[in-house]
Amino acid sequence: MKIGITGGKGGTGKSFVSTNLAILLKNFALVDLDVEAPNDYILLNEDLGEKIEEYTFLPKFDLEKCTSCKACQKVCQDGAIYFKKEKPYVFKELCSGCKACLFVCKFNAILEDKKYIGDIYINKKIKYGFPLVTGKLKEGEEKGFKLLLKTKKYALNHFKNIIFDTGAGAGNLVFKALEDLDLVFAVTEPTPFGKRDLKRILDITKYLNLKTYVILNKSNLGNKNLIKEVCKKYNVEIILEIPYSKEILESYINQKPYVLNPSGKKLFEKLINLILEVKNANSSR
Amino acid sequence: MQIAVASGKGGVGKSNFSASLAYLLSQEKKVIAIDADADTPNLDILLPYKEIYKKLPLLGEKVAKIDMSKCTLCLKCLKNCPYEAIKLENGKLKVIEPICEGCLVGKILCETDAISFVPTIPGYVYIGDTIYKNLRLIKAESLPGRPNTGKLVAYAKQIAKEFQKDVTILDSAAGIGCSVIASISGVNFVILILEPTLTSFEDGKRLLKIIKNFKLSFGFVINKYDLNKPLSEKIKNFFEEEKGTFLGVLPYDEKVIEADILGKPPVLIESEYKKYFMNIYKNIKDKVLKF
Repeated sequence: MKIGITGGKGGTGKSFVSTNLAILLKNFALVDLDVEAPNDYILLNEDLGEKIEEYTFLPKFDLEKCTSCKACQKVCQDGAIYFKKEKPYVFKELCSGCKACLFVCKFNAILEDKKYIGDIYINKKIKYGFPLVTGKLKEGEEKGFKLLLKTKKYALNHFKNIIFDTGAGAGNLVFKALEDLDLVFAVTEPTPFGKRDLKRILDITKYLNLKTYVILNKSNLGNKNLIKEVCKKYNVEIILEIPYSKEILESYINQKPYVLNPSGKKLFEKLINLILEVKNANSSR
Repeated sequence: MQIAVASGKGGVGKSNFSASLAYLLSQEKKVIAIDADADTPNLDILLPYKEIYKKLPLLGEKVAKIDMSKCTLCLKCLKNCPYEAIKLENGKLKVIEPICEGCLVGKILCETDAISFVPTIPGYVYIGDTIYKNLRLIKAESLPGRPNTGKLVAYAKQIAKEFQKDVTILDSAAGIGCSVIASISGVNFVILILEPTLTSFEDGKRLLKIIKNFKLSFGFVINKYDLNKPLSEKIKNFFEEEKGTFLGVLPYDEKVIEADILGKPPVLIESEYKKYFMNIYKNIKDKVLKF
């Protein structure tokens, strides 16, 4: 069973929902795919754990074999290869590691070098009993997509039941994070921002044909009708409303997950039941 | 003068801040606001367009197209696609168009010439006047699921250059990826928006590394500072030590949500937020814009 937590707008409570869900579900791995700003380990007050450094391909030229035909430069869509006095150079920062240059070179003049893009961290068993995996992009690396792919793949290879926490936005990283999941929760808030960004997320989950529910956070602030309209249009259900409260705020600030409180546990009950229902239906299929 | 507003963590109040700052500045100067959160642009909710007079597509992007009558299902393209944008479905190859970056790998490896590339438009830049005088809004907007929002942001910035203005306010995306890097590169000043949570602090530190790489001057604002005053103090000390200009704090104020729902910059509503903001505005004028 693979669950995705997303939302579009930043700060709506994706990590809050992810961490609390993971604590209640116990036998799910929590995977933080917000590679640009991973925060789940902070909310859980945990170490990131063991580190695996991740790299992408970077071309290196064998100058003896290079004929300066410039075929590599022509196929490079990143504009990362240039020739100066018939000698090839790479703009390391621009290279996305697609290997088009390697494949197009007829003279075997391109060798495989690598570029460091960030790390996958694994904390095998945190204090709440489940594993935490975190993708963390190197500061200054422009493209988080590759690291996200690798982090997601690592998780899929190691765990059967997973909660994937995505980053903010509705671009290719969120798209790839959600692809092929069994169940998606879009966490939003009752503001015009929440509304517009939710639409973009629902466009993605519709394209990917994913079973999706909406979680309305800070439900007592703003105007709920904004979100209800969108849900009606996209035919998705608001499965949970989380009111803004001092108790939740304090749990967040003190790094003491909300579901450790009886009121938090009770609030999340409905969500847990739904997940277990879908899980059982999937496994009996 | 170009000022970028950024944060690392999402949802800390960038758009409310940018809209308020752009609005106040437009009372005295000619201002262009750029919405550089191309994934999820929202600035036009607070600074509504009176008239959009141009919608420019981002050209030059392309996606793979597979001719199944030529495809032998050797799967070389699928196995080597760096974006995993090719899928095998019911015995046919399918390109997942939104995430295809047009890298040519599939075409190079295909021995039967079954892959070609067709142009695609990943997003648009909108140019228009807002309902406020002297305040023009340029919005970058990508289609859902698309990559390379950085290119769209760079395009929006390039377009902004053509217009006469005194100040440009650039509202950037959350995170630290290509979109944010495109937003802050080359600006005169970055305003970092923080809130007193450990997550915002950590993400802010990550963004700081990039700001430093670019050797940019920056200032910072602590939003909702009253939710955790001790941490606000700690954050203030940290970023001051990192040579950031402290521009002020903003209180947690539910009036801000009211303004958002009304579609107005929060400084247009009498509130605690506004009171504090006017102090920040003065600091920005004195210390950053120097007018």
